[in-house]
Amino acid sequence: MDKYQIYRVNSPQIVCETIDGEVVIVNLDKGYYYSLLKTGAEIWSRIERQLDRTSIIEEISCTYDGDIEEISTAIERFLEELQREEIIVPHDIANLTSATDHVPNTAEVRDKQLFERPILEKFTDMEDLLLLDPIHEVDVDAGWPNTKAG
Amino acid sequence: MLSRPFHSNIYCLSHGQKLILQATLLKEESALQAWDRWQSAVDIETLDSSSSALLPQLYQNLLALGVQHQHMARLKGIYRRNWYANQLQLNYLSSLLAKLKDHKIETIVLGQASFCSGSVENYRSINSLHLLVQQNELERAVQHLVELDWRLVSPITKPWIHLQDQRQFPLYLQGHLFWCEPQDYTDAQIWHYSTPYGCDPTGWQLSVTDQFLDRCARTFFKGSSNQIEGIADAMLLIQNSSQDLDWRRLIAQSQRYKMVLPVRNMLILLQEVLQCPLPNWLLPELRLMPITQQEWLNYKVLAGDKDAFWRAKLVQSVSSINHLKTPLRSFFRFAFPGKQALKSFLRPVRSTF
Repeated sequence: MDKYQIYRVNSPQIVCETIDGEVVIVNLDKGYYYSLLKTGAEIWSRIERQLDRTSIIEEISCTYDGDIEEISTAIERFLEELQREEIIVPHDIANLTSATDHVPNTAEVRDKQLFERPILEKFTDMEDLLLLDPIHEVDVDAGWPNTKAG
Repeated sequence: MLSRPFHSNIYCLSHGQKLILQATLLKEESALQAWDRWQSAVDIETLDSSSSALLPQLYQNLLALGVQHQHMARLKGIYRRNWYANQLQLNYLSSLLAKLKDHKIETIVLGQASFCSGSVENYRSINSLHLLVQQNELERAVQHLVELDWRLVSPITKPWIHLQDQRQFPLYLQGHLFWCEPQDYTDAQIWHYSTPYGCDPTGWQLSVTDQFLDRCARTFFKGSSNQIEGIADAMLLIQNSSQDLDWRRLIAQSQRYKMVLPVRNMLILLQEVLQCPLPNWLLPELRLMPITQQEWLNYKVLAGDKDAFWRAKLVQSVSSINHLKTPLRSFFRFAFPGKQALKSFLRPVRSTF
């Protein structure tokens, strides 16, 4: 696996938006809905900036507190999962637009938060979830598409 | 919250609806104050459908203002739900527009989808598709849609042709948007001023001025429920596209299309409820413009505007009498014993002066 591999969002079938630190993603062909929070959203922003694998790991390691090996493995697995779900695809280097966008920001962050494994939350039963009343039938603390417990 | 409108021909906003409009569309402290008053006055669990429609837009405004509240998670959920559902609908719409374009049929996107195009977004759910095609292309457009598995629900002779796909998702197709003779010129003006639809080059959207006129007409049309989304959309158009809103053309067209009353209503509400800055000359000029009988019959008047209310009532009564004329005319043509005597009796006595 190329450690300098760069990825891009698999558009047009993938559309995404960042809402208050959460990345929401839709696969328009399959209708699947995904959500990325915390480290997942952090990695996503670096994919959008077209950082390569190594640079993503470097930046996240500077931002979060944790074992470098553990961080590296978690990010590798996360990138693989995103590829498996066809959310991202390897980017052809020849198509890169600007080299200045790809310089990693490796400035050390003080008061680092503990690294948490990035999680890709996936929802596939969307027909049912769309029928949910987003006021009365959802988890009050999490909101749609998280259903009310019980 | 105040009670719902008491008269179907009067447009009346409840106190809660005014507050949610302000919390959704105003900025900084004014929005925060309205939000505080709204959330302490209403129960989100029992919200009216019209106010509920503004919740995703309200969430966006509160998020920008840094509000932290127990309702924010659910509001974000509504936003996420609409965003997800709309992405699928927009994708569907995009392929539909492309297929019509393949048959050289140009379309202007109307309705909710026209407020999801990027520059002006209200984050409401797209519950139907609404397209305008050239009148002379209407039948051909229907024919191609039927070939694409859309089913005709209403007859093709109606002003709005209602179709449904296999999911029973509605599509409304029309050839005219505003009615004014000469109709060809009116239609040509709409197409002339239309702009490319968002980032999708296959479709068109109304110019901001025409979009504003359309929102005014739909908001105050008699028979429709008193929804507040139209006011929010009109405000959004002013906030986001004021440089493209041609006020002079707006009032000229409102007179041409016989829509002075709904435009006047909208601007009064925008100024009173949302403190919308308008050109100084605008409302005085609109107030001087005559309102046609057709407008008094077609559109609601604002609650509290007694003068407008009584004028509308008067026109309605005159119109009812006019409707009675036809059966009475046939009655007078019908020969019956003593008709001549009755006619002489009813004939007005000529004045000697």
